[in-house]
Amino acid sequence: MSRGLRSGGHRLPVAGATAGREDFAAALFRHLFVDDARLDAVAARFGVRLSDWVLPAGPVGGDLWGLIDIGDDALALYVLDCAGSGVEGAFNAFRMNGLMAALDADLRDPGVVLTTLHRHLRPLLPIGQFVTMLYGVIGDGTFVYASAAAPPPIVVVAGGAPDGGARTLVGDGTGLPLGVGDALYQTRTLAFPEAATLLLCTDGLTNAPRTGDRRFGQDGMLELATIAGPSGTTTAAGIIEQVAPALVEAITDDALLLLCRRQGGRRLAPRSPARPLPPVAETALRRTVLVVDDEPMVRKIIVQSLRHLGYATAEAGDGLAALALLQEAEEPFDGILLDKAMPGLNGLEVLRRVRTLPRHADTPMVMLTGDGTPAAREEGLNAGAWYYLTKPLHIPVAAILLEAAIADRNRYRVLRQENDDRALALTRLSIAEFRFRTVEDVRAVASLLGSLCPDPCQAGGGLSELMMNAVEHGNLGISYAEKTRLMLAGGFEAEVARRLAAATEADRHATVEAYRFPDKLDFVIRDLGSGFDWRRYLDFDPARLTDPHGRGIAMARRCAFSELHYRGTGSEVLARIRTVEGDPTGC
Amino acid sequence: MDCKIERNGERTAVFLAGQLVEGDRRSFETVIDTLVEAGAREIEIDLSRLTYMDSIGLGLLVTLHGRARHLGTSVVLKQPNGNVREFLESAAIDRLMPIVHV
Repeated sequence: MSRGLRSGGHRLPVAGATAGREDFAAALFRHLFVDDARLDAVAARFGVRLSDWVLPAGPVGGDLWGLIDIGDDALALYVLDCAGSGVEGAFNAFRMNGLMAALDADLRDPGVVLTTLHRHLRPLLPIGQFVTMLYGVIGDGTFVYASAAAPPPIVVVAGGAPDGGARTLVGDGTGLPLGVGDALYQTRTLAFPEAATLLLCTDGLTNAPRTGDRRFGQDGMLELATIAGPSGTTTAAGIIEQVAPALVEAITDDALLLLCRRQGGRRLAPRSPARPLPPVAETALRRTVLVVDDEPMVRKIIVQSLRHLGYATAEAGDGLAALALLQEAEEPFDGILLDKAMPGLNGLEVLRRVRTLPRHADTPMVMLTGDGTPAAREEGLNAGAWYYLTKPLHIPVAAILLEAAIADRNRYRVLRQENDDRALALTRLSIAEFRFRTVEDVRAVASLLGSLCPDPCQAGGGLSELMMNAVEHGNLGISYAEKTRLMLAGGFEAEVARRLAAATEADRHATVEAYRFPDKLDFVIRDLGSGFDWRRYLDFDPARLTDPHGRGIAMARRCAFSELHYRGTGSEVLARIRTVEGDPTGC
Repeated sequence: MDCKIERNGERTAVFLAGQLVEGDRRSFETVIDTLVEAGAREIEIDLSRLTYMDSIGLGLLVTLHGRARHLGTSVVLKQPNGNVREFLESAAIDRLMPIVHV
C-alpha cells in the first residue's frame, strides 16, 4: 500500500472500516480521497500518474486533495489545508469537498476558482478559521495555478541543468488564505513538460523545521523534489520513506504530499484564463515587516496577509528568535508586529530589548494582544509600542497603523537629521548677533547659543539669566525692589507684559553677540538701560537669602561661565567660556 | 518639570524631575498653593531626579519656604545631585532650609 493514511499513530489501509467511532470517522475521512481505481483511470486518460501520501494528525484531519473533471484536454486538481485539527479540521475538509463538487465558476481559471471559493467560504467559516489551498490545471506543458497561502508548487524538469540532470522550478505560494480578508487570487503558470514531476504539499511538511531537521521546510521540499526527479522515486510515500521516515513521527500537524508524474504520449491543452485578475495592492512594496507570534496559524495568517498587501515579511516564533533576526538581518526592518503573550520572552521584554539595538531603536512596533484592557494598553504603550492592537486582528487596519508608524518614524528621522545639520552648521559659526526683546526670545536664543558650548544646559541657563536681566531690568526698567514686590504679591509676569506692550520694537531690543575663538567662546550682551550696580550681584549675598530672585548673575558666573565681566554702568556684559583648543564643538 | 505629590499624614513629599526653570514658574506656583492649602506640617522636596535649576527655580523654592514658614510648616530639600546640588550650596540655601543628603 503506497498511501500513508494514519490513525492514532498507526497506518491503516485505505479501504475497510472496523468497529469503533474513531475507525468509523477514519473510514469516512478516507473516502474523501481519490481511490486507486480513479488514479489509474486518470493516468490512462491524461498521461499523468498521481500519487499521494496523507498523514492526518489523528483519525481524521483537515488536509485534502482532489481532482475535478473539466474535459479531456486538461486536468484540474487541488490541495488544501483546513484550519482546526481533528474533527473540526475534518468537518471543514468535508465542507470543502462538497463545495468543490458544486462549484459554479470557470474551473479552468484557478484565480477565479479561488476567488469564488473565498466568497462562498467567508460567511461559512467561523471567525478565526480559514483554508489554505492551491488549485491548478495541468495542461499542455504547463501547470496553471493560483495559491491561497499554500506552500509553493515545485516542478522537477528532466535535462534542464547543464549537466543533463534535473532542474527544479519553484512556483509562488503567496495569497491570502480562503475566508480571510478581501482576497483576490492571481493565476500563475509553471512549465510542466513531459517526464517532469510536480510536487504539491500542505504545510504539515513545510512547517516541520521545528524538529531541527532541514529536510523539511522549503529546503526539505526541494530535496524531496530532487528525489522525485526524472529517474527517481515515483510515489509520494516512497519519497517520504526514503527521505525521513523517522521525522514522520515528529510531525504533529496534518500533512499531505501529492506527486504528479507526467508521462509521455498524451497532450493536454488548457485554455488561457478567461480574464486577468487585477494585481495585488502595491502601496507597501519594499517595506519589510517582522512578524513575531508563537502561534504558527496566527503568524501564518498575518504573514500571508501582509504579503498580499505587498509587504516583504520575516517571521519569528519567539522573542529570542526575533532578536536574533533583528541583529543578523542585513537591512533593518521597517516595522515589527509583536505578540505580547509569548512563552519565554514576552512581547514587552522583546520590545524593551529591541529598543537597545542601535539599528532598531526607532523601528515602529505594533503590539498584538488578546488583552484589550486599558491597563494592558497603557503597559504596552509605556514600554514603547507605537500602537496596541487587540486580537482578532484586522490586517488592513494593522497595515494602515504600520504605515502611519513608519511615516512618523521617517518624519522624526528627517527632523533629527535637520537638527544634526543645524548643530553641525553651528560648529562652523564664528560671529553672530541676535536681537531679543521678550522672554520667549530669550529662551530661544539662549538655548541656541548654549548649544555652541561644552555644557549646553549650563551655558544656555547662564545666558538666559543674563539676557533676562537685560530685558527686565535693562530694557523694561524694572528695579530689584519692584521685582521683589511684584513676585511676592503676584503680577510680575503681567507687569513685564504690560511694559513690553508699551515699548516699541525699535527702542526696546537688546543684543547678544557670539564670538568663537580657538580657545574660547565670548558672548557680549547689551541692553538699552541706564545700568545698575552689578558688583552687588556677582556673588550670592546672604542678606538676600530669602528674596525670591537676585541670584541669576551669581549663578551664571559660578556655574556657567569661566569669566564674567560687566562693563561701564552694567548695560554691557562679557561672558566667556574657555574651551579646549582645536575642538570645533568647543568642548 | 515633572512633579508628583504624595501625602502621608502631616508629611507631604514632593518629587521633582527634569528641570526647574523660568518656564515652570506658573506650574510650580500651583504646586506651592496646593501644598500650602493642604495644611501639611512638613514638606519634603525630593530633588534626586532634578537635573537642572536656574535662579528662577531656586527663587520658587525660596518662595515656597517663605509661605510655608508663615504657616509653621517646615520645608526640607532632599538629595540634590550634580549641578543642582552645586547651585544650592553656592547660594547657601542650607542656611534657609535643611538639605538632606541620603
